[in-house]
Amino acid sequence: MAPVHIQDYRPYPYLLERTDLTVQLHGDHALVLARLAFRPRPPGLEAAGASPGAIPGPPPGVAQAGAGEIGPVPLVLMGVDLELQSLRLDGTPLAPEAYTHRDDRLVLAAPPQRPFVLESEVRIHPHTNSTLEGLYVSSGLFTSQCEAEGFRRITFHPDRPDLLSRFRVRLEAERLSCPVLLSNGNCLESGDLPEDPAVPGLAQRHYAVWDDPFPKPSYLFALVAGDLEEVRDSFTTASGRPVALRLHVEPGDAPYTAHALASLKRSMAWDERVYGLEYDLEEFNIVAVRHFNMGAMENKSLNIFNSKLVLADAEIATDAELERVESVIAHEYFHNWTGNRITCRDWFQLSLKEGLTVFRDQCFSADLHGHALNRIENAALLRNTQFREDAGPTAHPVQPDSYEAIDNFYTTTIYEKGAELIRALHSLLGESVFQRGMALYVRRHDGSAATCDDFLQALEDAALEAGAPALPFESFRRWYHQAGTPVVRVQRHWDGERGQLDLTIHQHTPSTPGQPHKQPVVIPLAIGLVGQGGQPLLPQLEGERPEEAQAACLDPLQWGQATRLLVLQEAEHHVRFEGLPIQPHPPALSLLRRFSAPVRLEIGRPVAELVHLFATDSDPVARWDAGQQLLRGAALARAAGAPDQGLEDELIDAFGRILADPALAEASRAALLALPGLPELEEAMAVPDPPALFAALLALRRRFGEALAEPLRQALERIIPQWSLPWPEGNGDRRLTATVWSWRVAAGDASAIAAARAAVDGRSMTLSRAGLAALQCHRLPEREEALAAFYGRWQSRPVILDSWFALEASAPFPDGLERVERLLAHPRFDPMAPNSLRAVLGGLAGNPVVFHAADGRGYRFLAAQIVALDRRNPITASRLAKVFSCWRSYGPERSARMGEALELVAAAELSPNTREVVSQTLALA
Amino acid sequence: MALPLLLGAAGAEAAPATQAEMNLYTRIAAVNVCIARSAGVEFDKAVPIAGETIAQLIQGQHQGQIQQVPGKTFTIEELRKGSINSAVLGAAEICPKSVPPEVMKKVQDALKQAPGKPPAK
Repeated sequence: MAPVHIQDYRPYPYLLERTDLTVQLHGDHALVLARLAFRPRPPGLEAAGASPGAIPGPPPGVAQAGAGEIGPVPLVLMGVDLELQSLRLDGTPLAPEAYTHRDDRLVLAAPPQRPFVLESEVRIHPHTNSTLEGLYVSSGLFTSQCEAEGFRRITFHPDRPDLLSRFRVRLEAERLSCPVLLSNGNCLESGDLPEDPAVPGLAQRHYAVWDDPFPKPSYLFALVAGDLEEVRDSFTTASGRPVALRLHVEPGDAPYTAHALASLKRSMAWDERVYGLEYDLEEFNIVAVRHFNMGAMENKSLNIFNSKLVLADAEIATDAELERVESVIAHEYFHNWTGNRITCRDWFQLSLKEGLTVFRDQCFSADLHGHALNRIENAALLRNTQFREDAGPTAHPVQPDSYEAIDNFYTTTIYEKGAELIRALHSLLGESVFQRGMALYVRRHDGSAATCDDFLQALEDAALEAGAPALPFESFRRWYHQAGTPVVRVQRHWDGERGQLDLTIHQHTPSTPGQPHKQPVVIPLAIGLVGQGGQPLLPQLEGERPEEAQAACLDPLQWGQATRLLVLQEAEHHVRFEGLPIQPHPPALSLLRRFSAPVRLEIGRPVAELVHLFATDSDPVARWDAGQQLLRGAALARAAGAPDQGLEDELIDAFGRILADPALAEASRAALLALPGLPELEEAMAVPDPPALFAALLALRRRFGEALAEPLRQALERIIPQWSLPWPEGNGDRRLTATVWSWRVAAGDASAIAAARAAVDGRSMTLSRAGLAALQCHRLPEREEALAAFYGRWQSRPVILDSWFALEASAPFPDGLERVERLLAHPRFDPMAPNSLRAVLGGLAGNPVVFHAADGRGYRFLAAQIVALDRRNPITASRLAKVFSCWRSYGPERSARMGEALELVAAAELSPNTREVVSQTLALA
Repeated sequence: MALPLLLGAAGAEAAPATQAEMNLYTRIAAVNVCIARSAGVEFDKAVPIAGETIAQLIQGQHQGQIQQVPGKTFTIEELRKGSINSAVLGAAEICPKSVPPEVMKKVQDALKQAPGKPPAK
């Protein structure tokens, strides 16, 4: 597949006013009649923010004329796996010489230079479409997925995000098998179809016509047809308009929809309250689908969800899953404005909708469940996924400048790092100016396709309008174009006789593939100073009066006591704090409060300083981070075979105080006691040794479990009465229970083992999974009993059984691969369901003992699975292939074995998606 | 579009399979036979797969050792033979309708000839 470059972007030479579809669904195929109303793009009319270039590129042998050129410009339509039945131009069949149909393109060399209608009829095969793109069948349900380029698998169409048109869709299907027919917009009419006299005796067919009044790009088109149970609710917008809310699930699943519906209503109200954005149609539909490559899709008014992200209550979903469902429902709903009403000009702008919408859903979750804990989760996710991506061969900027398969760019960089950039802007501008900028962005670009630059420009203009302090937007824009995680190195000099602290702060971004040299970026660095008694010290800059310093501090509720925001712009930044206590020891330095920027911090802080911050920092995020640094040190020392007993003793003391601290909520306690993730530990190790790190974490759990037996017992005694509180209440108590069980089971405590085993039979999925997780790594009969009981209880519910598959696949025992083989052959394993594949193969890839076994069998096994999967589902296969991305970092032996496995994949016939990932991974020198 | 969930994972040693573990494995295998049968899988195909589960479990987790037969390490072939019988017996107990009549008859005949269970303590 030829790479697509951002500099080749050109607006499409024709405007598309309407896309009218008739989709006839049959037992083994579907017929799609498309009526596309085009007109030539008037000279000088360009898409918002357009720059020169062409996407998609001209078809082979056909030159794509630029705006203003003389003569008809070819009309290029995209189509994949379509059987063309007929083609008409303004009602007249097109002569074969009037068009070419080669590869994935249909080209009319000389279309009329006036408004015209192109009609096509194609035959497609949804039942055998295993890619889960375009139109496919999932458990008897016709469903669609068009982002990014799936619409071209349904009909011939320009299929690009900057071409917005009004859609009207007529669906026809057999009433018995497909009583529900859904598409975007409002339903205009529906009814039975007359019997076809030519084929008497056919099952009764019916139809529905859907009209979407809002022009949209084709990637937002959706179609669902099948036997679905409907759950209804309603919402009245702030301006008094009623909206019918409908959730469609497989028969029998209706009892598990209340949480999703309540989440939807909370999202709608939040977007009105915080952003002033109301829903704009009469109805809003959500459909739960078992076979889905991604999490969920924001199709206009017809959101389609991976069923795992809709069906949830306390008995079948964990607290974390309930929160995830809530945030994904919100995310897709928020897209109605940031994504649908204002869409992306091209796929290089993907983060315009995704980064911004992730930021919005993070704020929504934080408002509902607490800002500090939400931020800790964001930071941990970023460190364990995005930082690693940014350091590997598939590193790419938030706004990449070329791609081969756009599906490979649905990454944590585009989403999470993109959201961090929006957050950084929010921190730099403040809530009020940020909201002015958002409002300006919506006003300017509503109903159009925009770019990341358009968004930044709106914020810049709003800041100027509001008289806000000048922000170097030009330097900030570098974040969007530079891959890699900036490293911030802090050196300090303490003058104890004057009470002066000098900081020299350096920033640099490591080189990444194709980007050897980087420039400094704008980094908001939130900083606080903590005195010896744990008290906040006023961060008074040189030359400031105390009251000025006080006034410059950030909101303590959001940022902790006495926090200053330093704006780093240059490679080196000097700052002096004065007026500090005269004493020999410098104040403790609390840095990157609230994880104010997606950077790595390098500062040599002694253990005593980190212990002090872990005990006293008024910003919960910086406090947690101090603990994480201590825990990383303890885990790395154990993995190196030299446990640091002194450090571990410090941690045990700190944990003991945290467990007894009456001022802490249980959720905060659980967060402070959480061990770092394996990926970030691997990154911190010169030559990562996953089995050694895994053993180190297990040993730490055992040590903590043994040393803290009594405080853990007391904590458990305190929290058990809260176990049964409905989410979100009791969430922290259940989280802490998971930690207590995990540590005490590791320590061999019989009562913890029994409690963990028994939890599987209880009514809380959170506790059930906490029990399984605690038992997971231990060769105990209770583990096997618990897993068998879990399986027996949930075997008929695929969404829940996936977690059983994941646990079994990640069991760190010597028979791991055989276990995975059996899982893949298990009668309940569905090889067509990405969720099941992710559970088993993702479980294996996350199994440090089995995947990283020295003989390389784990690598070769997964390589073979990726090759086989790629033939069915390239999107899921290419995502899995990324587990090899850091293969060169694992030391000579493991790297060699991983390299061999990668070569196995590379030697196979691959999809463009997987080929791109494997080539990038192997190419890095 | 929301990204799919990512999955992480979670460590281990070997000891002979206890009677409780053997019972558990047999139960799992039997349940698998029943599920496979209800999904339309032929009995002759469902049983070896389930038997393989037990064999692999004993070999993988217990290095082919069973507490009831001290000092002996079973080969995978020996384990397969015994496991298939266990899977059939388990299936006959929990989903007899899934077991073909001729197999069911053999099971019943074998059970009649087997020595009686020890009295409960």
